[in-house]
Amino acid sequence: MTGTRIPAIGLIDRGQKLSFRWQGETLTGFAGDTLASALLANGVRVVGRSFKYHRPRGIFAAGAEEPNAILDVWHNSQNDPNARATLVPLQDGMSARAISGWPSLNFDAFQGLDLLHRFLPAGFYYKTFMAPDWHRYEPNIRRMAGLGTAQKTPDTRHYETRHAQVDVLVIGAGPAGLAAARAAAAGGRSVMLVDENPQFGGSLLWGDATINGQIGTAWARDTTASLAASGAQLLPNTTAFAYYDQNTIGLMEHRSHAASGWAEDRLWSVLAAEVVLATGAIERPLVFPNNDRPGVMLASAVLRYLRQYGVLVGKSVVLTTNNDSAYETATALLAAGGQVAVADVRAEPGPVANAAQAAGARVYAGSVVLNTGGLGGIAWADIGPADATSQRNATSRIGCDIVASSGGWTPVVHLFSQSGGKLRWDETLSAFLPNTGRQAHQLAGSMAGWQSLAECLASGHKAGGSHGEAPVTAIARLPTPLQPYWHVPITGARQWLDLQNDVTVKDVGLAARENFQSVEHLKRYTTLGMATDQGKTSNVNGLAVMAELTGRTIPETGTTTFRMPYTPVSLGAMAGMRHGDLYAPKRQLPAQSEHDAAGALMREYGGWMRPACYPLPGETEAQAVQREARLVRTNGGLFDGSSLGKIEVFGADAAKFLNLIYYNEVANLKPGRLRYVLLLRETGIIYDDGVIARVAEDRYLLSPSSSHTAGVLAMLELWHQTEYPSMDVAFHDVTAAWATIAICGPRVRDILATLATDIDLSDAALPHMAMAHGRIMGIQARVARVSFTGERSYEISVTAGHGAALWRHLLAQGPTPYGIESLSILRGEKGYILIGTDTDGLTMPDDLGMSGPLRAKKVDFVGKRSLTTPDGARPDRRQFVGLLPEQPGFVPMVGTHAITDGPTRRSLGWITTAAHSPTLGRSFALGMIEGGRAHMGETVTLFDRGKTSRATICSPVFHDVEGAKLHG
Amino acid sequence: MLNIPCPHCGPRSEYEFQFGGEPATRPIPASEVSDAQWSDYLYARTNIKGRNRELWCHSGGCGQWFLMERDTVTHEIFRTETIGSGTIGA
Amino acid sequence: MADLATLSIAEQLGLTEADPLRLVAVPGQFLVSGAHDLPANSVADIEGGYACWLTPRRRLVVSATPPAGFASDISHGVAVFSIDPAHDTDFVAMGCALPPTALAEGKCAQTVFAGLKLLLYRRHGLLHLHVERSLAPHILAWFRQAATAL
Repeated sequence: MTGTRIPAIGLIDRGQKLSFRWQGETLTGFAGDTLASALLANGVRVVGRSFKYHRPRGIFAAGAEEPNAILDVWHNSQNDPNARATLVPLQDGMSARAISGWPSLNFDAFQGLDLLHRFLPAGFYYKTFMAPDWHRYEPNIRRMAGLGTAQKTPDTRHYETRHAQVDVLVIGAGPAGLAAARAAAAGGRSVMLVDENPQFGGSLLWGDATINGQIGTAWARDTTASLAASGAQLLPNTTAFAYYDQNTIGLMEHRSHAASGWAEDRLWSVLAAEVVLATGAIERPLVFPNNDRPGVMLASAVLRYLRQYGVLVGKSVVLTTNNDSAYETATALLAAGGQVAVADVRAEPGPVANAAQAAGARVYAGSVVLNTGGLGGIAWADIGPADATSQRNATSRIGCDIVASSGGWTPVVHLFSQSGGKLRWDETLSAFLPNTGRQAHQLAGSMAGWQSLAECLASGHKAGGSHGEAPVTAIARLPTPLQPYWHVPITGARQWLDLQNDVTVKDVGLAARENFQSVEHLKRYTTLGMATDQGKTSNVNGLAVMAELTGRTIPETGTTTFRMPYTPVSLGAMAGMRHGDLYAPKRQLPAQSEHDAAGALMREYGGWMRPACYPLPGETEAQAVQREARLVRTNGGLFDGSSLGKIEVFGADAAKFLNLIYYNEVANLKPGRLRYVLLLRETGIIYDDGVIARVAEDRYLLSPSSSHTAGVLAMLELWHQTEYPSMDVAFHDVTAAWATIAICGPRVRDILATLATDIDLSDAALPHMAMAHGRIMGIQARVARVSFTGERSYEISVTAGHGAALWRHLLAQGPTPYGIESLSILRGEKGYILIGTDTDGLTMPDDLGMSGPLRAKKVDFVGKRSLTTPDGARPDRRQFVGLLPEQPGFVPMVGTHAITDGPTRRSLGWITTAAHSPTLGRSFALGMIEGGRAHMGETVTLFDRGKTSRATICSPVFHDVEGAKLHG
Repeated sequence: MLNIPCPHCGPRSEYEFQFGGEPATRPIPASEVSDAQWSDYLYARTNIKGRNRELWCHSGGCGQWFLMERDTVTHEIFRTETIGSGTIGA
Repeated sequence: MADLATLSIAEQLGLTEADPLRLVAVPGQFLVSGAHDLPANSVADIEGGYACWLTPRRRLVVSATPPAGFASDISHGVAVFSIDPAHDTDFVAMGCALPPTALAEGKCAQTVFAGLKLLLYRRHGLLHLHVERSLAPHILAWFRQAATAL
């Protein structure tokens, strides 16, 4: 046991005790604890096993940079399988487990891998575990690495998205951010202030500063309160994870820690006129041998656990450092009754070191930790000269339970870089600082390179616009300069760089030797910086080592590209409400209630919920489909075609314009007549088919297919607006305003006779492919005589609100309601194509045998030129044909290839539609076959998943070849 | 996440727009266009790395097509204007 | 033969008092193309009703009588709702990226909301929503789900 809670210090609420479980054992903590601070307070040392070598690991840091304490956390029956314990506010009833270590954390069967570490360097999986098939090893290697398992029960968390627009978005509520928000609010601007922690204050929460005469925590609290009172939006527990274009920021608000208790992540998309980046800096460790044991921590983390959470992580602490900041930890530890030794690599550590020495710390100048040891943790540390070349150069062995280091501070420039900003290396600070930015932002505090509190406050005040009084604090003495120190110059013992991915200095050496010297290659080859901590404590150390090994400067080596997210974000939050029924909008037919009443099996087709079929009680879908297809031809059929598009086209130039767009001649269509047309793309490929009706000299009604209505409308607008803007024509999408019910079959004229209408439905007045208007049962209506089944067919359109009643009336006359699936058989056996089923992204009109309209049409139209390109004229183009399988009971699968016979098989095309037809009493198919029309009557081999069969190429019209039924 | 100033509606989120590519002049009459010219019109674009002109449609808003001058590297939008109204493009 | 009955959108949707959307009765809706002088993205009173700007050459006219010119009657095709005034800014923030200024009194906006294109405008203080009738069930389901997050 090392960590203990000490009295009278910390910002936790000792009045609110919380109970939680760790590895099945019940422990206690307080409101205000994180899971990490509570574990430390309970003396927990080991929280996991390292990724590759399965070495025991403990809590290392106190913030988002934590690499080791990745735990499987359950609360309120929701799970975060890879939660960073330092960012999880403790809650009553929470339960946490380690994600690595089998069968147990303390006795891991794979810990022997550490003994084999020489055979498991970076990239070992590119050289070993390859024969005979690397797929065999990979799952096992992954399992051994150990990461949390996702819950198998549904995720019932509420995820939500919010958009916001604000004058000033301040990211980071430490001293600089608070000063900036305060100034911006004083200037009358709308302000949003966010911080990833539950409490605002940042480093003030573990510092001992005085601002405007108040202690830092009190100033932070009061500033927060006055910001709230001024109307600023305050978002704690909120990570700014991405900086997008044009000052759009992605925020993830973790509301699972809200007082309401129920879990929710809220994604914000904020458009800010100005962003203030006050994201602070993260301490990086010194790199020394065996620097990965449980008990090795960041010096600032030790300080934070003490001052913010009242946890003394160890009684006897060895600090090793190259700069002044570790001494604040030293003096705080001494004040709390701890023992402290400091190994400072600088030969002359300076005044703060002297002060610490005076307070009781043992300070070793020009020294560093050369080794650590202890079973399952730390029991001792060896100290020796900073320029030691061997661990045998150690001069003292100090008994201790914690070794904490400070190697300098890395400004958090992630969002700045994401925004397109460029960095520069500052030699004095040994840090990458923002150099040139590209978006509308201000920089404040330590992320911009300011070191003292006074400078941070001043820069924040300025970034917020300098309104109101600047906060005042004592000017600190200049620190003794940091001495760059990237690793102990010995060979032999491993020195860790990336704790989460188990990457050492040796691995960087290996990468350098194998010529993976670019920093981007270094990252991918060694995986340094690729874990969920994204190298927050290891990237700079790693590239500095690479620079040294390859004789380059650090700026020459550079950094890898910063990408969102800054910390992991849940997929659920990114999806927001777009899941389940709300995933994609589905359109509903006006007569839906009637289909429900008839027991329809509804399915989504092209964005509309439509009846697939209407199974009778006890019928399977296949049986229903066969029954419907049979009865439509013998009894008559009723079909809801309301989803078919309806676009009204109006204007003096309507005919001229449409003629420039469509494949077919449409200007000579007489009022009251319909024509089947194709719509091509400029590439000559068929985009849609449909029916055009001429309503009047200057008015047409277009009927695109259901799934292409929006696309056709968009295409008309595009051509009108960009190519033919002077033409007098306009387009209105009225699809949803009309219900269209199709009635067809042998009894259709009798059924129509039951409609009270003023429309002349005689063949003379309404021949096939004609349209008439009038009233049906008192309601405005349209009747079009057009068929997709090959039967005599009428499409009756009434305004949508009357659709259900029209269906009911027609159904009462006895026709069989039929759905999409049986329609496919009916149209299929008539050789009527379905765009996107029988055609694909290469099909041109002549492939379907529809070159007549091209010959007849004189004007240019969309796609015309492409029809006469070499590709359009190729003789081996696939052509639309029918196929009769040799076995009449065999229905080939759609997609089955027709292949050449002989030793080298080649595909000649494939089947696009296939079904059993009750009318034909056998199977039939449609397909696209190379030069198909020239091979009528010939048989061809079909190939499907290893099995072959034969089929005869024939006309695609199998039933009623003369088309007599249309007029019967 | 672009914030795009539609010439009619003002600044709106990228979600409301559709990219229309680099504008190209349609060669007419089609009967006098060589295969190479036609192929260029269909497929070849200059694709400038830098300041480029593009067609965009405010499909989720007013449905109007317009021209935009945008830097394809930095995504900075310099200006937008209705087609035929200004100096962007021919 | 009796006249054909109407199935109202309200009946089709099963709207209740507790829902954050209310159906608004309008006398009729027409898409009208042709020159007009409505300022962009505004809604204004006209003879017999009011009109919303849709494009530089198209308006939505809400009135009982069909306007002159190229007018299409879409009365049956569009559901008109008003959004609960207590939370309309929250719903807008959840459903789309429009800034509140775009929906001030007298302003209208076509936008992508909850994944689909619809029309929003504020008239007499109330935020109105026009959506294609076939998508009304989806929008209602969205508002019901979003309301639980308030």
